[in-house]
Amino acid sequence: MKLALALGAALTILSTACGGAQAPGAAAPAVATGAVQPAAVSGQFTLYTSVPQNIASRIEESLKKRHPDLRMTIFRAGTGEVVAKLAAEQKAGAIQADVVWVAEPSTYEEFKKQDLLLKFAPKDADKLSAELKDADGFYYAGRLINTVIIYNTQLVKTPPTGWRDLTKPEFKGKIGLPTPAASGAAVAFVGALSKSSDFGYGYLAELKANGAVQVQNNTEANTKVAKGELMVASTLDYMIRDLKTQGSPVEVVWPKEGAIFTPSPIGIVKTSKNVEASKAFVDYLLSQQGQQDMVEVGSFLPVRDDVAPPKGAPKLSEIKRFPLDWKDITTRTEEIKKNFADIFGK
Amino acid sequence: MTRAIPATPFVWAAAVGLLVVTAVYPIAKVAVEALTRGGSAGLGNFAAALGDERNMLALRHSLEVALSSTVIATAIGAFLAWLVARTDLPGRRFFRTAFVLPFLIPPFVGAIAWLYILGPVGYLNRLWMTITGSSEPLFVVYGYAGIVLVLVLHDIPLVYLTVLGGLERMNPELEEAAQISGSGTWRVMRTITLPLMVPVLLAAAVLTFTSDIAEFGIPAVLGFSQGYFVLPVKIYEQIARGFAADSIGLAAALAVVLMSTGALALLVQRWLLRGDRAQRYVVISGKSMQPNRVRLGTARWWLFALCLTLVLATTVMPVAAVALTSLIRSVGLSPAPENWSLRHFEAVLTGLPAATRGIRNSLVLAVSAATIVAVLGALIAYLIVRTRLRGRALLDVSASLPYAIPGTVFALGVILAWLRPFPGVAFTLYNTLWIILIAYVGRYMIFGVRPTAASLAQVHTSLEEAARVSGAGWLRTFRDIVLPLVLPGIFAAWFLVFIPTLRELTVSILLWSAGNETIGVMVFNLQESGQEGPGAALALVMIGLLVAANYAARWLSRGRVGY
Repeated sequence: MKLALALGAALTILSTACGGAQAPGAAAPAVATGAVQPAAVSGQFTLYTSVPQNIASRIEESLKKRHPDLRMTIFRAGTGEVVAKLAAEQKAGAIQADVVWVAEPSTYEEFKKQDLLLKFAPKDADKLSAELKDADGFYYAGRLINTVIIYNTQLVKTPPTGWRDLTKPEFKGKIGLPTPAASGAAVAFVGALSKSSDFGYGYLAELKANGAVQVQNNTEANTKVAKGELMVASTLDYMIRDLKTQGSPVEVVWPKEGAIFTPSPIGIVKTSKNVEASKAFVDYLLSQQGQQDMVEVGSFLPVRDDVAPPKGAPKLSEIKRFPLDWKDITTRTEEIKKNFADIFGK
Repeated sequence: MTRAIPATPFVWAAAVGLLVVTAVYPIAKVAVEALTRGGSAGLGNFAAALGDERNMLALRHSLEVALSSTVIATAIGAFLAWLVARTDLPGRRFFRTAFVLPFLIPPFVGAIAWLYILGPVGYLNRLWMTITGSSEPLFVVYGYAGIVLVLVLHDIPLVYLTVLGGLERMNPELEEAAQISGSGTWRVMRTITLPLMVPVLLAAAVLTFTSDIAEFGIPAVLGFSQGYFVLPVKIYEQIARGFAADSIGLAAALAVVLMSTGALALLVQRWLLRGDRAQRYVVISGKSMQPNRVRLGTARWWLFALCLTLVLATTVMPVAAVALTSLIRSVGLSPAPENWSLRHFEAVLTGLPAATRGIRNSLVLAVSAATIVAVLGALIAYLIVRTRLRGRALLDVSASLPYAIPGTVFALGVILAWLRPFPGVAFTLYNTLWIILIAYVGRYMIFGVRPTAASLAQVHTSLEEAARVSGAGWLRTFRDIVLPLVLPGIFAAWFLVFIPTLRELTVSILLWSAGNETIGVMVFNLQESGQEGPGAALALVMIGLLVAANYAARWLSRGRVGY
């Protein structure tokens, strides 16, 4: 009885939080509609993810609504930590994860090389465009995230227009960059810019000369910008939308040179003993309903055309992308982390 | 006549066995890992790790922050203990409790709180810049100075408690005798109190040094943005974020280097107290004592003001900063009341199943670990202090090492030791709550050994010998003579384990798994994923739990245990 009351209270708060704070395009908060699909599969599975804690908890609640028979347990940490934990588990021959959902594809290319992933076809796989899924069928984008620029609206009078502007003296000593050692999105960011002939690692050295500091991850960058310790930082678009709806003094810049457009993949571990439950979760995530839920709980850009993006977010076609090659980044991960540490580690 | 006690060897064997399994075995696994490179034995990992100048720099940083904070904290902590135990300082009953309160604030939470206060845009710095119109902050808590400051604030209670315990066990008759013979206050302090306190001061300094050089949370929070890294942070990065194939081996090699510094500190302590020097410090008789208080005269009100400021700075300000941050609706808004809300508390206590689970798990773990360690530690302490068992000195070192090495590395050892399923059964400790419990027991073993050993060392063997001569068996002697005398030590041990395990982060962060979160892990995760408000709210709940536990312990023990 107590449990039911607590659950009731939790749901009330959750729906208030979603309805009040998120206010997505959809009229009725999906959490409250109770349109429970027939849950064909039951069972439990473990998700390893780098999705921020508060959003991970909301996803847990959403799944409970849609598939009451599926029990998900979550291990949440930065991409770097998730990968290291998997490596330790693999070394000992006892991987506990069933599903892995971290920031960007190069990690999964590495997983593929290590023969860590299960080949599978989710129900709605055909609804995803070719660039949002692995041609070999090992992983599929569960959300779209973009590395963009965040700035503090109280401190910055003339917002930067792109990556190049961060080298301007007006931002001196107030620039934050998440470290690729922890953040998968930062691997993609450094990987893309270092490959570009207009930027290269020289650009990072210029930023360092302009007083740029490394931060642990995108969310720390946001916190420091919101508080005014930093003026600008590179970070992920959905986090800025989330902060803005809560009232923090921050704003997004979609860089004129292009955002780092990142399909955030989800895959199933080959050694999983809970394959059916894991597949059911991925099916849900990629379904229209699932993507609608993700838009609401995480302000993520949806991977399907038939789901509207969150309020304040651009359409996929409007996003200018910084050129990048995931296969190339996979081969350079070590170099990217090392060079970044060499520039910012001292 | 001595009765046969057949159970005894079994009890000793079990105690030593558990010590080996929980403390020594994981470290051995790390050592093996360190000495293995590319599948074959050798020193390759050491060459690679120490050949990297950044690792050498980190080692230097580790030594400089640990030494600085140990010296400062030992001086301040010992002075405060003396003020409370031996002077007529006004409000000393209040200070007695207040000085140890920072101990209830987890170190990494303290670091975060000081970021709120003295970060580049911290509350105090903003206040300073508003009042003076300066564009430069007063003091930024990043880097060397900041790390030492926060380490010292967190070390003071440890030194203070250790020295206070020593002062209260010390027979004040010696001091009184000197006073009666005409010695002044300072002379008594210099010639009687201080020399008698040498072993206790050394113990406090060694504990502080080993804890500081292994500290991960504070330098991780305060050093990162300035690129000021210490060895434990380097090791953590190799383990938790390692991207090269040999990361674990390199981390293990660095861990061995760090282990040596801790072991070195212990050896220095043993050397200083070598031989019959220890005999000089046997100063407890079976008599009751009422300490004679030094009159501070006119200085007492100045010292009172100083102590009050210290309490404000070490306890009230960090907690207030965390509380204020937990109330601010969204990060970056001004801390004015119109931006206050309780939404973060609602979110943490009703909307985050992992947070409530974390609270429950931490309580279960802390109670279990404290009980196991207190009992086991007492047995081991007796072995070390009272028996002539061969290799007993090794027991002390064995029990100390898990705490002397970084928790991150000990956690790695625990993973390496227990990850694989037990042969014959399809069961692995990994990803269960038990692996965290086993790690806690090993890591905090020394807190079970030291207080009991210290109590034992000050109880002269004559009491036991008298009992034995009068015909009591070993067990009866232990029960009737030793146990009552060391019981305060065992109580203290329980509490010394309960509090740090309740607030533990460093080990748990590598051993937690889905469904087996701890409260520290959840605070860290919330903070790390940018949820400053909910993170601060849960941190405040955590501090509340620690305070409640403290007062419950005080009440249960009628004031004998707790702060």
